[in-house]
Parts: sequence; structure tokens; C-alpha cells
Amino acid sequence: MACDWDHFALTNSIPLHGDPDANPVVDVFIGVDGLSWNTIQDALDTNEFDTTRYHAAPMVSMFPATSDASWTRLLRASRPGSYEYEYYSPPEDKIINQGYLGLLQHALPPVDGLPIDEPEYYEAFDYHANGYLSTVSSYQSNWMALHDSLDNLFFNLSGRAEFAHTFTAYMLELDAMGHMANRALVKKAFLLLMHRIESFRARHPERTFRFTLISDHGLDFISASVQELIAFNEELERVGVRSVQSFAEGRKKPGLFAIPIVHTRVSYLSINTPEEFAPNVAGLSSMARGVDLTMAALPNDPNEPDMKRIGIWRRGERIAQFGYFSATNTYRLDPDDRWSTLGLSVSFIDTTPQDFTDHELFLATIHDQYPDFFYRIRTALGAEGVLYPGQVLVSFKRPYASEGFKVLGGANAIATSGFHGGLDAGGSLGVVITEIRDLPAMVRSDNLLGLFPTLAEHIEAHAYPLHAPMPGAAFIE
Amino acid sequence: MALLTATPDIQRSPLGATENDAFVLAPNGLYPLWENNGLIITHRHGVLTSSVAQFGILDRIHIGTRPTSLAMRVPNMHLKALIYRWPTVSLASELGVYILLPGAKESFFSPRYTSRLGNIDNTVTVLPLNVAVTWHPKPWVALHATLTCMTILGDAPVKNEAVIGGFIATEFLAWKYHALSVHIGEIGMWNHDQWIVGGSYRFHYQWFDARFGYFMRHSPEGLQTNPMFQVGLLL
Repeated sequence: MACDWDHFALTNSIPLHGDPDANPVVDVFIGVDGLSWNTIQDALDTNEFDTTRYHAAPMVSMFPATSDASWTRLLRASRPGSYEYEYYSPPEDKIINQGYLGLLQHALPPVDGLPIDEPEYYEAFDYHANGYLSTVSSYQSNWMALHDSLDNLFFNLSGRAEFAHTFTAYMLELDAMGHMANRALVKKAFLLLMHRIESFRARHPERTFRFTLISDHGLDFISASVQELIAFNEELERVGVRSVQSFAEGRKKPGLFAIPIVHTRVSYLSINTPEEFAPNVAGLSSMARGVDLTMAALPNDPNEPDMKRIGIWRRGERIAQFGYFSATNTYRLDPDDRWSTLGLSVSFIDTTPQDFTDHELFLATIHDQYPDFFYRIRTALGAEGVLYPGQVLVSFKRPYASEGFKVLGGANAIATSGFHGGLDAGGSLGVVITEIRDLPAMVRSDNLLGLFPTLAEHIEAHAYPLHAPMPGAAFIE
Repeated sequence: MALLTATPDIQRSPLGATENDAFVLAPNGLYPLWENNGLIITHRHGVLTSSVAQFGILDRIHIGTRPTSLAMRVPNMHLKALIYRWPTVSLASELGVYILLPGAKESFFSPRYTSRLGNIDNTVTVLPLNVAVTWHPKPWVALHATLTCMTILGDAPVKNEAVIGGFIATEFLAWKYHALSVHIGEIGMWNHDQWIVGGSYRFHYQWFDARFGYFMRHSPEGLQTNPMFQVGLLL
């Protein structure tokens, strides 16, 4: 510990300079956790955000839109266990990082030699924290942490830019503000970040700095009361599904059982259950309090063995299903399903099932309540994104959300100002803001590195070999 | 006592407090590279702490290294020589050699600390040469002032240059085994890079020595805070 402090003092007091001619242009990528498209709209209304310099577009995140899983996929790090620190491991038949110990993983600093680690994607960022307790202070003292983070970010940038062509940084504070404070403060924090960027640029005319801001998900800024925080293990029991801790425990008695992963306060929930139970558990779960939609894989159609089938449930009823052909990256939709009740802008030529390309459905749904609906659900239930996906996924009807944890002592009304995780646009739409290139109307987060090759090269050169791209994600923008 | 100080009654004493319980001054500056003092370790005595390991020779010089930096890809050593000693003032000069091997910038034990250095592919050599004076006018107070010229050498595109910095630390020997210090420094001078301000507490009992401080580095880009801790033995 003290060794880090000593080295921190030593290295940061050496004023090392490089030759601006060796790197006249520096691309700076700042990952702003939870920076929502909503916030960009708010900032545009103020006229304090200089739009002439930047291209901006919403970036639809993976589903479920949770930070660690989303950054991991977006930056193509190795697959995590599942969508959050706490997850069900089928090989061990147990829940990993359960309860308060699992929550503590978010706050504990990783130190060499101790069994505490950070997700691999952090390595993609040249700067991502400023001390052992920086995560804790982000939630405890929003503004102090924000200024601290900005100071450290630009201090590091000033030094690294002496030699680097690309610099990457991560900021947690805006996400923490969105959960803990309110929408106006997040807008103010975003404008402060933009102001600091311009101040830095003005102080460093020796090089051209091209800034890009990216985020892992949105934030809906819809607060939830304590009564609207759902303890899903209790809800499962109420709708007739036994809530258990392991499959072994579940199999001790006849009937449906499931393992709900109740970890943090998010607007989705992952459920593990035997595959043969999944459609029934999804149907029953959709009747639980606060649920908007549930989704699960359906058994294969013997007539179409290459088609992966996924069902969508609402209030106990399967309201739609779709099929996916990986060989052609196309989806099959039935016009008889109730797509319009989902608010999806899908139009059919006639009354027969119709195949759509991935790109057609992406474009058709980008402005809908559930953007990029089909791709996000398909990849959420597959193992391409996480090692152990849930068999049933729940998207809450806001303002309802998963309770996640209970605060000891009863002061439970914290981290309830805004949410993400569910399928809806508010929590799903992050952003890309850049000076480097034009952007399409909307970016799919799995395609981000394709848009910014210098970022991909920087990660490969300084962090880790990029994980394979998500199958079926890419298209010509 | 491991140190030659400017106060005659606490020079060349055995380990620990002197018979009159005068306090031993801090054996080294707490902030690395830029903070120093005018003291020399006495012949065949040593200082072994988490931050510095030093050994005195002939009451005129001492040699040493920073062990934590050694472990963090910065091989280093320093040589300090006494220039002159008056009754209450001691003047010394130190030359250090710090070789920042490629990767030194990211050799922290926790990734939650980051360096602004960018030497991922190249070695940078840093040679701080300083002159430091310690003025110990009363048993309860000492003033340490350091003027440093740091030469930075490296292959292109590293700019080879010299940087000037100054540091002042005032050490108040508050109680029998305790001291409080205030530290102020400036790096870059007319070519300003950052100024540093900090406070520290020191506990010293016989051969045991521990210091805890908190520093702030203020640069045009913003403020960085930095706890410091040093524990060890005066031998």
C-alpha cells in the first residue's frame, strides 16, 4: 500500500516531456460510465455544449445494460461470468459473489497478491481510478469525487500525451450521480467535463487533441420508491416458482424452481433455471409485480432445426416470439404476434412469417421504446457475451426495479434516483460523442471498436488481445 | 543516533534517544526526489526504512537506495556528501541516479494508481542533484531546505532537459517521541510544473521510526492527493 503511495509520488513529480512532432495528434477516449443520451439532450438545451466541434449519436448498449458486462463487450475483453459480479455458475452449481461480500467486490481495490481482482476491461483504460477508495468516494461524495477524477484524468493526460498517440480514461462518477442524485446534477457534471476538455485543449496548443466520449449504457432518471423495489425471490414464490440457491436444492422437490440473481439496483433481472423450465418460468415471472417483459429460449422447431427460437412474455402470456438463423444473420418474425403492443416499428409485406436481416431490424427499431430489440435479446440469452447467461431475463416496467440489496439499518432509499439494465430506451441508450469521424444515426455498442480503429489498436497494444467480435453484430454503418 | 546533526549535544549518540532525550531529526526527506536535508548518517550507522536504505561512511558521506522504487522497476542509488557543518547548520549535497525501466509507469501494486509518465517502451534516466541545508536553531525545531536540479535523459522522443525545484520542510519536535512537519515544494520554477504541499507526523522511539504524511500536488491540470508512509529502523 505504502509502496504505491511512494511510487505515485515519485513518478508523478517527474516532468517528462516529448517532442510534439512525434505525436502531433492525440486521440483521447473517455469512457463515461452511465452517460445517457438523455443527458446529451439536456445539455443541448442549455446552449453550453459546443455542438459544432463534435459528432454525437446514441449508442445502444447490450442487454442487460449493466456496466461491467457492457464495458466488457464493448471493449471486447474476455467474457465475464455473467451480467454482474454475482452470478450462478453451472459447473459449481452455486451462486458466486453472493450477498454483501459480492457487493463489496465493487468497492474493494485490487492489489497484487490478494484474491481481489478487477474486470479485464479496466486494463483498456490508461487511467481509471485515483486511489484505493475512489469507487467508494464516487458514491459517497459525488462532487468531490468528480473533481478529483477530472483533476487526475487531465493530470495523467498531460503527461501521457507527451508520447502517446492515443489515451484512454474511465470515469465512474456520472453513473454514481445518476443513481444517487438527480438528472440536473448529471447534466451539470457533463457540462463540467466538456468545459475541462476545452480548458485542457487551450492549455496545450502544441498538439491537436481529438476527444471521444463513450458510455456503457444510459440512465432513465426515473426514481423508484422503496415500495417499487422488487424482491424478486419473494415474487417468484408468489407466482408459483420456488426460489432456490442451487439446482441441487431445486431438484429435491418436484415442480418449477429458479435462481434469481438479486445483486444491485437495476431495472432487469436474470434468472437461472433448467432449460426445460425456462418458458414456464418466463411465463409465470411475467406475472410478478413490476415486470414489463420476460424472455427465454423456446425449444427448437423440428421443421427448422437451424432456427433459434425466443419467446417474449407479458402478464403471463406469450405475446411474441422470433426465430434467428445464425448462418444468414436473419430473424424470422410472425405478423400474427403482437409487435405493435411492444411499440416496435416492424412492418410486414403480407400475413406470412417474414425474414428480416439484422440491419433491417436495427434500423426499424432504433427510435422505438425498445431499441435494437431482437439483437439485444438474442445476444443476452446466448453465451457469446457472458460465460453463464440467464435462462430467463426480466425487464421491469419502470419505475419498478430489482431491489438488489437491503441496506442494513433500514435506510433503504439509496441509489434509487435513476436506473438502467432493462430493455427500455432510457436505460439502454448511452452515447458516442467524437471529433474523429461522422457517426450513423445510432451506434450498436458491439460495433464501437469498428468505428474507432485507433482505440482497438491501443487496447491490443497496451491491454489485452481483443475477444472475438459478437457474431452477427457488424454491418455497414 | 544515526545522524550527524548540527546540534552538538545530539551528535554521535548511541541508538535511540540521547541521554538528555533530545529528539533525532528525520533521516531523510519524506517526499521522494525533491525533498532532502543537510544531514549525514554517522560512520557505520544506517537507516533502513520502507522508503530509503542508507549507510554512513566516515561521517562525511552516505550511500543509499530507495527499496520500494527498486521493486517497482526503478533501479536507483544515491550518494550524499557533507559540504560543511556549523554549530547549528549542516550543508550537504546528494546525487541520485534513478533508471525508470520500461513499464515503471504501471508497476503499482494496485491498478487504482496511475502515473502520468509515458515510458512504456523506453528507459528514462533521472539524475537529481541537490544541495540541502538543515538549520536546527532550537532542540524543538528544524528547517530543511533543498534546491534540486534534475537532469532527465532518454532516447527520442524524450526531451533531454534539466528541471529546477525547491523544497522546504519545517520539523517541529512536538513531544518526547513525536514530531510534526510541514512540507512545501515547487517543481519547474519559472517553467512551472507543479507545487507540492503536505503535512506529516513522525514517531521515533530508540531504533524505531515511522512517518505518515499527506501531500497535495497542484499542477495547471488540477490537484492530486497522495498519502505517504514510511516505517523502519535507525541502526
